[in-house]
Amino acid sequence: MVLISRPALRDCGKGLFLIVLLLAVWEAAALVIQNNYILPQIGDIFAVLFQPAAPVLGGPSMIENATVSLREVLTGFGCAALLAIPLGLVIGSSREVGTYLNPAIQILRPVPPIAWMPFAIAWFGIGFHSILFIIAMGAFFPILINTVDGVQGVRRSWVEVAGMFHATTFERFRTVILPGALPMIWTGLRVSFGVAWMCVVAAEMLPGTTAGLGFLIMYAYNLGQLQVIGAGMIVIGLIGLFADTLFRAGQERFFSWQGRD
Amino acid sequence: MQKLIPFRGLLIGGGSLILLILLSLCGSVPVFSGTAGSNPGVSLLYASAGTMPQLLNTHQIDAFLIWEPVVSNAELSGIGKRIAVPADLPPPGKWDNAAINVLVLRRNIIRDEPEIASLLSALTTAAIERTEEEPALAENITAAWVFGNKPILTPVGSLNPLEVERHSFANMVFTADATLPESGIVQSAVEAQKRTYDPTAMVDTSVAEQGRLILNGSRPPRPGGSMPTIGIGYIPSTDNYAPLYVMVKDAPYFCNRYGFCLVPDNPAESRPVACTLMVNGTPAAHIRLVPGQSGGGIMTTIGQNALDGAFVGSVPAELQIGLGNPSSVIQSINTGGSGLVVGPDAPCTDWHGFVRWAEVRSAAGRPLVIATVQSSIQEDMVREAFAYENITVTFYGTDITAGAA
Amino acid sequence: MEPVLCVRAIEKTFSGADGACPALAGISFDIAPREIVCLMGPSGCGKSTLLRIIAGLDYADRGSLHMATDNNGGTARTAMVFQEHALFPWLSVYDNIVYGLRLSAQRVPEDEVARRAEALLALTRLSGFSRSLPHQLSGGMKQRAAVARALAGEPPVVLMDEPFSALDPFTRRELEDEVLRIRSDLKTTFLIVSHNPEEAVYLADRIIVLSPRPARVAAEIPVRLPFPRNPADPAFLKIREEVTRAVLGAE
Repeated sequence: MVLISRPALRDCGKGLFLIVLLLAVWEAAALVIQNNYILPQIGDIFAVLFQPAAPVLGGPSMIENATVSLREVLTGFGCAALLAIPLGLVIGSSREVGTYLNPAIQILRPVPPIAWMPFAIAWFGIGFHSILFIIAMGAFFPILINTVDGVQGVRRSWVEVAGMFHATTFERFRTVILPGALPMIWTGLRVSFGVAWMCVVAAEMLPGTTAGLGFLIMYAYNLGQLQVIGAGMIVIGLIGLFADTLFRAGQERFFSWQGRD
Repeated sequence: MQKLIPFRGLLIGGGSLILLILLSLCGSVPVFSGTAGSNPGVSLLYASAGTMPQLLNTHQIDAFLIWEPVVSNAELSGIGKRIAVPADLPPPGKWDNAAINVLVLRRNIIRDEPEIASLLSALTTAAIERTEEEPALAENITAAWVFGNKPILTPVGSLNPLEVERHSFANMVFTADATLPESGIVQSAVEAQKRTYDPTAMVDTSVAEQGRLILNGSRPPRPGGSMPTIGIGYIPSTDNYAPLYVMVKDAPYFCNRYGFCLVPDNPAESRPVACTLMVNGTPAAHIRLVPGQSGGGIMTTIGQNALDGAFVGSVPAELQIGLGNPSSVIQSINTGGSGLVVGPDAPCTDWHGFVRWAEVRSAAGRPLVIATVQSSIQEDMVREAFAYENITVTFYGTDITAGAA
Repeated sequence: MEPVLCVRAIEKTFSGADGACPALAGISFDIAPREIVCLMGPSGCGKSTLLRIIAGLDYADRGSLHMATDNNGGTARTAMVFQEHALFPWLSVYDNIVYGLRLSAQRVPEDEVARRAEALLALTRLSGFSRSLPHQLSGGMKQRAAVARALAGEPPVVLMDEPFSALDPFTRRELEDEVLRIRSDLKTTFLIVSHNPEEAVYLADRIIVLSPRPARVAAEIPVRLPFPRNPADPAFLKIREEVTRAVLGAE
């Protein structure tokens, strides 16, 4: 499967140009300022990035930190998807259920996931499961809202075609509602993966954390090692970019029909 | 079979996602490994000070070593009992005169505003004396500053903050003359960056000397009249900075007695930020007291020129100065002021009993979990004490050895 | 010959915010096998509602519908072609056409599915596009695919709700010819809602004109012209005028 076409590659080059320009300006400013606390030099940041298997600040390596965070994000994101998609399908299909659930959802949705931190520790204990909870809390709502929108946006005429051919309730759901709502669900997944990545930095401030990109950033902050923070940010950004590219490729591949018929 | 284009991919993707989640949820937590010795071991867990009583109360940890008033709070609310203070911890004598918290200033402030720096040092020393001489006054001021004089909710009811402070002050010694301890954590971190570690080189004694001369009347203060604005960071949730709170809240005393003082711009504020350093009734500097979350964070902010100095833990200060933070330690603020707390049912009442308990639990395959704040002097105490007792410290959730600190 | 569809005294009232709104007030007609009947009337008179009731997408308050049993003696089903093709955009043309055959209500064996699909693709000249997604087709091809989907279940009557109104005049004429060809090939019966007198006269054996709400059958106009019909033919124009007047008169 070709992910990037030739024109896309050309656009990529244009985007890269700005990045190189920004790096050059950054480096020039860093050389003038000469203070790692304000602007670490690019060379120092890349020194961290180019030794991804070496221990960072006496702790786990960049690869180990990224692996830990990625595992937390994927699991939390997956749990959120497993809960939010079925719930969203139900709410989207039934006005009655929606009436019961919507007020609670609308109240919980704006709460920043990290505010759950004290409860998470008490309910799920120190470590992995609390972090999962925080990430899943953040990833849950974008998937839910998009799934509901997706189901409600399924064309009436598609449902009527199923009715015309005497589809059973389950068949109508499987062959019309679900595929019709999938592009929006996919969009929800894409948005929520980004949110999950943002939550991991906050979630890794929970007690008992000893690795992860968020942990690394906080640890480096306490030690005043801003070049490590810069390297951690770049790794987070690159993983996010990669994930988003995959989601967009999936959208192109599976949902090219969306909005065009 | 119904052929739906997105379905096959979806089934495969969804299926593998579910599989991944199950694997991830069931899998054990350690992801990377170090080396664990055959010695008995304990597990070291990093947490923030405020969460520790909750963690102990919900049986997620077995002990914590932290500063006041968290220790007194936990004791009085029945969450735990204090079985040791730093002086009880081995190696013997190591922490008797060790500075737990210090006054730090960035070096360019010391150079450009030497008289303001000396006055801050003199005031700190004066406030330390006042805190030691008038504990009842200091307890009241600290209760208001730290707890806002509101009852403290605990799992079993509520506590009077003043009661907590009385208990806490019995465990604190304020002194300007403690020495900067040698820290194993700092040593390994600094030497890992191929720098040399020398705590004595981190102290600038000249400022405190000038401060003493001003304080004992050997020479009058001579502020330059430039009215600089100086930001001083501190953590507002610890009693260890009681002299700072006394300095600000009891400002008239210092004005009358010494002729210089730190006056809050709005005396009604419970935790003043904007203050003015007054010398013989004339403003000499704007001082901003900026609350922070962690000692390391405050030190980083000093390195970024967003703060100019701090009341801060000695280990975070040493760590950052050792790694290149352009600041110097001026003087100490206190010794002690921390405590090792275990649950009320723990089978021990002192450090030796704690060590035996650790050995029993290690042999039973359930090592004790002990919480500290990361990169704090309390972490250093835990690691050095267990190293002394030949007990291996590993990081919680991993099998990485913390190493002989 | 026995009619394939008997519509008897169908009544329908919508209950809206401002009270009951009678839509159909006792509509009756029959449709004979292989007949093409066009349903006309002023806009909003309830043509589409009637069609939806016949298709089973809506319910009548009173009246009855009788449909001929299919070849196997089972319950016959109508099939509908919507104004906007209503193809599933995520399914290929092939999968769209056989959609109904694969549902449990029909459960046609897969080799029979393939046989019928091939025939329908050929009939609607879409053989080269069986793997294409609907959005890759032109408007006319999409509507042909929708017709093929409706025919797949071999319904006794194919219902069409203004099927070609979204198409340009040339494509429209092409598809009208297609309908006539299908009727002669497959012996299919059509009931077509149209708002275009020329289309109605071009296609229909009989034109039923409904009155405004509440709708009744206002007129039945037989079109006894040989196929293929020439819209420029004076006889054609005469009937077209008659139909136009009937609809306007109904108003």
